[in-house]
Amino acid sequence: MIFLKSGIGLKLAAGAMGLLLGIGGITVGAHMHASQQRLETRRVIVAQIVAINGDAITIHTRGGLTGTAMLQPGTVIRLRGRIVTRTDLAVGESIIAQIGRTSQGKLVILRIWIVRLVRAPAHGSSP
Amino acid sequence: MSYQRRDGERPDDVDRVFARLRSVPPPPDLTSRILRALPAEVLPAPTHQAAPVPTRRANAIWPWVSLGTIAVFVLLCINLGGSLEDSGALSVLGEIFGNFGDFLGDPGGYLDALALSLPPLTVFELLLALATLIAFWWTSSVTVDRAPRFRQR
Repeated sequence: MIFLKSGIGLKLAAGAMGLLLGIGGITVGAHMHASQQRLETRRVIVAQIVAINGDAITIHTRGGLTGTAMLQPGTVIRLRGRIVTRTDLAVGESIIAQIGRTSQGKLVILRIWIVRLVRAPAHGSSP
Repeated sequence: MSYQRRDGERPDDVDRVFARLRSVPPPPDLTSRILRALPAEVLPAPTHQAAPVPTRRANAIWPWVSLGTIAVFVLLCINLGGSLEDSGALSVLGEIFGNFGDFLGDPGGYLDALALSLPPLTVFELLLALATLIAFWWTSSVTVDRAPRFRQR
């Protein structure tokens, strides 16, 4: 009864309502922008490797974006905390990639975190 | 009220004279006449009597302030959601929560990616939204405290 009489319950309910409204607002905002997304505007993407052609990696995001980005000489590739080489990249792997753009507007990959390996890593080539 | 001796002695001549007196009610404006007649220096300075605080009006403002802050907070969150989606931070968060086992295996990598996905402006928007949420919670708490039902006696 003290919980109700002193208004603590109402205050907690107000805080919870604020949090829920915040989450709802973020969801609405993300949904509104989802239709306008472009790979070039992202700083970090979660995608799957669909093709590897030398330094060119073709990636496909869950949102349906597809693009080709170039690995740089200084691109760092990490797998479970260890730095690995480009040969550990394989078609079908899920990665988190930090991407950037060159002055010519080409997409480059600055950093890769491999999050899901394929069972039989093999270097694929783009059609 | 007639004059009466309080002790048990027999009334004397003075007592008999006073017993004939009748009390005269004072004129209704006696107090104001005396005050007007007094010089200004004698009268104490009028103490400042603050106008009664419009407590009802002040209490009525807080719910509206609270509503205003929550409206601003929702708008900020909608904008923040768009910024997080554009930057890719929401994708990373989705990957963290959807792949929590791998996240526990290499939390540094995921958090590194999350930190890199947040541009400074988005971080500022996030902090602004948090500040607005705190302001809403504070104003709603004040509203609850000032409600007659919960006002402490």
